[in-house]
Amino acid sequence: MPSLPIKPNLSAMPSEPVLRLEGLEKVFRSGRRSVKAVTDFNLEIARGEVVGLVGESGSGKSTVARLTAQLHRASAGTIRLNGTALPTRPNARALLAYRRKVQMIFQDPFSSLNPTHTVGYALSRPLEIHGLTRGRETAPAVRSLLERVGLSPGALYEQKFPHELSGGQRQRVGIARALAVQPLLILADEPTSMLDVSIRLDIMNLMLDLRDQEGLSYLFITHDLAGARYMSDRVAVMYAGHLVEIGPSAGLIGSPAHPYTQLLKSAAPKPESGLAATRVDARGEIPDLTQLPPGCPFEPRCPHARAECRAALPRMVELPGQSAHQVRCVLYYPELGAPGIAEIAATTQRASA
Amino acid sequence: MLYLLHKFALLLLTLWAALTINFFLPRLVPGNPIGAMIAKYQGRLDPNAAKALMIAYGLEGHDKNVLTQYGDYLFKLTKGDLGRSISFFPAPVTEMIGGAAPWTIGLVGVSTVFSFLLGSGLGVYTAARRGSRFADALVPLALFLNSVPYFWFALIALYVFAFLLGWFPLGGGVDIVTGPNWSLSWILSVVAHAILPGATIVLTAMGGWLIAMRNNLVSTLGEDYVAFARAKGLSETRVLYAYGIRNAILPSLTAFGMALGFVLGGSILTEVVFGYPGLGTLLYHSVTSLDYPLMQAIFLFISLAVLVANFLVDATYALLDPRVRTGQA
Amino acid sequence: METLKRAFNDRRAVVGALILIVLGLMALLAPLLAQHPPSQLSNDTWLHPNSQHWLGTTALGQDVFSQLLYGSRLSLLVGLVTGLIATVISVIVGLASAFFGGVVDDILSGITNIFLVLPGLPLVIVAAAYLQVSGVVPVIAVISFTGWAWGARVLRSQALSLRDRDFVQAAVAGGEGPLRVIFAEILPNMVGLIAANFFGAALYAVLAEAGLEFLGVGDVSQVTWGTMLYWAQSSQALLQGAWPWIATPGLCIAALGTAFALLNFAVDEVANPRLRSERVAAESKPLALKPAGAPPAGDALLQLRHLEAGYLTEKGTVRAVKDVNLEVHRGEFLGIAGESGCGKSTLAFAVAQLLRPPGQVLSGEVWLNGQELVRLPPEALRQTRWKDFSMVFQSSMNALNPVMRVGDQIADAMRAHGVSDKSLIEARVKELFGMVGIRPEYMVAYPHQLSGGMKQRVVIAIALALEPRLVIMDEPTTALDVVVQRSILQEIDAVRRRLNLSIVFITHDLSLLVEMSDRVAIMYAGEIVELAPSHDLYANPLHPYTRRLMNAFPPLEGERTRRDGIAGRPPDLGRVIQGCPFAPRCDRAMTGLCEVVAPLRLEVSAGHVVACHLYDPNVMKGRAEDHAIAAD
Repeated sequence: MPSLPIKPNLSAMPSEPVLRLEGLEKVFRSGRRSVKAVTDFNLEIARGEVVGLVGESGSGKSTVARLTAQLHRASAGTIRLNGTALPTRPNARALLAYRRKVQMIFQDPFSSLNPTHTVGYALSRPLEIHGLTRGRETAPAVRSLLERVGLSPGALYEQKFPHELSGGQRQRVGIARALAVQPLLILADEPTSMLDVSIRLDIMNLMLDLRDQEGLSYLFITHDLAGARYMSDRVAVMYAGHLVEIGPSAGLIGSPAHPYTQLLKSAAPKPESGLAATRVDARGEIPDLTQLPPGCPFEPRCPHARAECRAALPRMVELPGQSAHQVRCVLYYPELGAPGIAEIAATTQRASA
Repeated sequence: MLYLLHKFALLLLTLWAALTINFFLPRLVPGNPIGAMIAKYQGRLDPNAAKALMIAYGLEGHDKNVLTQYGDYLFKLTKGDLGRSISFFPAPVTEMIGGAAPWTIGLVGVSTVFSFLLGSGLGVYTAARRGSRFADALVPLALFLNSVPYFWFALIALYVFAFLLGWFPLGGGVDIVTGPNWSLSWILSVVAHAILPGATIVLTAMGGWLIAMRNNLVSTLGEDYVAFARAKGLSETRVLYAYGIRNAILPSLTAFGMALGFVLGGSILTEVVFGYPGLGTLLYHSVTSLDYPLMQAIFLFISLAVLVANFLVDATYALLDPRVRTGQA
Repeated sequence: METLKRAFNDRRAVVGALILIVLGLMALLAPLLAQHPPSQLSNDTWLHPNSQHWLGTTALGQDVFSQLLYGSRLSLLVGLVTGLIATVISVIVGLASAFFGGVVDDILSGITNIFLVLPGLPLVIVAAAYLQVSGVVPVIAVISFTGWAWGARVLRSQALSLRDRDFVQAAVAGGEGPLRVIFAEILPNMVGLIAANFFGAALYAVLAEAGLEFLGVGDVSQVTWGTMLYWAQSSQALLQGAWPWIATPGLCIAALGTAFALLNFAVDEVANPRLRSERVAAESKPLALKPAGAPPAGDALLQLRHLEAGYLTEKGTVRAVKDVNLEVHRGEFLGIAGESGCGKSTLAFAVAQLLRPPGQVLSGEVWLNGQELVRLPPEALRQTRWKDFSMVFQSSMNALNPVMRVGDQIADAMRAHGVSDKSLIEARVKELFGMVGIRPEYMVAYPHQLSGGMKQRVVIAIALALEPRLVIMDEPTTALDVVVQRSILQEIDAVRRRLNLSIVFITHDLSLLVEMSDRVAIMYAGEIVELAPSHDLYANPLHPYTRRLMNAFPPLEGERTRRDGIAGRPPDLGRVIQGCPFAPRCDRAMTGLCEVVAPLRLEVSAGHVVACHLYDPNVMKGRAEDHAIAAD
């Protein structure tokens, strides 16, 4: 067997996170317009950890993934892999070494595989590019990859063209392609949103199983809070290019602190209660990213907005007693007496009543 | 507005490119271009004409470098000086173009616009009536017409309708005997002379527009907004016009603008066959008599005409498409 | 490659290829077929066609037929080679422009645009006159020089869209170098367009060459179809009655051009699937329907009786909706849920009579408010539309006419149904905008000026314009973000309650549907497998499919436990399905029964209908007895 799965010994791993994003920024320019897609984004992902990145379209969550995958070049900030910073303009060799460790799964399984190539070709390329297999070793490695993602027999699937596969099968090929180079981190950009409900769980379960087997880390991007909760150890919430809240997934989704996260949660479908019971005040839309307000980007829509919100962009603060749960909101400033805490308690009480 | 400014900048840029190409063409000939040119006339050239030729190309002083020559060339152009014709020496070429241009604009311009309208109209018909025998038969016919050389079709038309049947005059733009310009008999004569060449241009140019419009409309009729319009209970006519054609005309118009250069180039050849006193015939004459200044001036003029026509098409487009008008595209 | 293969199934492509082959054979076999050397002079001038000279002779006594044969060689050569060179230039410029972007793109696009508008033929003529062409090489060079721009523009835009496709991004993220990305990932997907472009360029080359030679600017000592015309014209052949000398080379040029045009057209059609599917559509024919039964008694607003609908394809009929019986009451919110491909959208379109060929209602009845819609004549149907029922599409992003103000798109629906008072219409549009939460200023906006959520609101406003009794909504909020979705759903619900509308709401999101609906129908493989009041369905799902589907939505609260999806895939609706369609994926399937016998639809409790053998007392009793016997 040419490619042995790595069995990670988690205790022997250094405490340094696999990925550390520091002050990441991205401005897209076209003509005289410039869109600030990501602003001052900080995140760490530990070995074997799944971090869910939640937000609506235009929140910048996909841009974060594409910056991390080096498909876009960041306007500012540093990406550290295992503590080593990636140069701003990496040369081809440094980039290849980085890609060997950081892979990506795409949202649309119908467009992420080249229709003119077989599955076997798609999976053999990463093996060959990174020099993991040579010549005759490649074919059996491809087959074993296919079987690891549940496409057996691999010999059958390697000859198929993408159009001969279902959406779920294609997404498994997408996962196998990311897995081929035995990466440390996989960036999964809404990998299930284009799939049928009946298949989504299988794909998520496959990803979780691979995490357990190979000690992978994931950045799992989604717009679905429930999916993020199912997959992730920690959840990060983005709004208008800003990280607004981050924390352990059960705690964050169970009692969200940021008013935006609260809005997201209240808007999610809840089959147990009727529509009328959970009226949501969803005024306004996401601000124009070409001219962000100086203060909190959510302030124009926020039911708790106050003068402090408009003055400057709020900083990230820890919730009292929960150092892992941080929120970018003045309601939790200790110097203001953290009025948000009482608010959460009241909401939780209402919900349970 | 920004869109039109952008298009106008492109017009100027293209015009400059045409002028520059025009400047360098004679200099592509290896060695001394004027010497080579004069040699081709084999001593039949008026010495004054030869001198005029040297001046026209800024080649009278060999000490001047190409850049200075280029500067002089552009400077002369701003004064409308394009040199003198060699075959009709000493007539200035601008004068000759001035005499021929109205004929071409009248014949080729009108026929081209008409062929676009007719072709697009038939394109709408073939798209809306897909499946009917006649409509489907029009498509290969259009492809055939589109592939016929203009001048050949003109030859056949001339032979059949003018020579054999005698329905139309054999050539020229107007009969001399019919009376003063703009008299009724003069106008009638002009029209009689224009019908046959006009018809050949319309028929041969039409095929392309037919195919373009058909494909655009078929695509548009598959759009969701058309299905939604039908669902609203609008009449088929309203769906076809306000939702189908209104959108399908936009890419057709773009294609029209882009193909103008090719189409006008082709249709001026028709003039040669009919001996029509326009720019095509003049170009032919200049080519056969090696009248380089005239040839180049005609190329410049046709370029300018195509560019202006193109700009008009762009302006129409902007008028029809709110996405362009409001500066979003 | 697939595109090319499919193109050759097309009749037009075959004709084009045949013409090309015939002309190619003429060129190849010229020495065998010609009775005379093409340029040989003789004293037999101006001969009419005869047995010696099939197409007569020229003014110099040359054999026209021999010239025609030999002429095909250079004419074909110039067409093909020029087409090839121009295409290669187009591909290089287009790809470089798209792939490198930035300044490179600006410069190359600028040059392309200049060459696009410069009048090609006059330029070619002037250039050729200067170069004093001898041989065909300069002709090929000048025509290629002016003929590449159109292709470059088209290929650039295709390459640009391919460059942003995920598979290219995936190749980059996987570590592929730029050359491999261009040649192994992007280029193979452009084969169809490049082929179409080659044929287009070849057509241009053939016509330009002929024009050039006709004017005598080319090398007139060569024998080509173009120079034949030149000599014929300058000898006034027509006046001499030597019409074959002029007619045949022209026809040959036209034939060659037509061959290229046919191939271009056919490849283009394959590359643009919409043109193709529409053609299949135009060929399908309507079915004969049985006369409808009596109008429904009772208070149902909408009643579907044994409705069957599907698609007539080349491989046979795909039955996407099978024997659907359903009632919707006044003011009711009925949800229909199912996986993609279960037939839920086809059902919506079948009810609204909006299926376009090859889609069709195959049999059954749709009764709305006392009218049977399937058999309604077109004009009556048009009038009923929007007045009695309206529909909101899945893809509302594209449901609005991009060149019409959104207010006018409401107004024209009203005018089509007899409301002509201008001020009345304007007031109503304002009112509708208020109802769906859009400021009235947006009445004069064009669709591109609105966000996705606002477009969806406009579409809903249009659907409510004539206060229909029924609104069918096909995944109206699927493409929207949750917050926007929630607020639109709230507006819909409020309007429904105020106007006592009935709504049929179709989505794959069962959890949303249970929250919104009065009753929910679960569709699987074209059938309704379970129908129940939503609280009942949520608390007590019966069909194994419904249960698995409910389980597929992880919860927002409670314990985080592992859940499983539904293994397998829905059946192919193009095939005849025996027994229960869910049996192959069902963990409670009873061997020997479920895959053989189709289950009956049974009302298990009040209003709760399920089609599953597990709830059929007769079947279960029989099986229990069988087991008892087996145990004995």
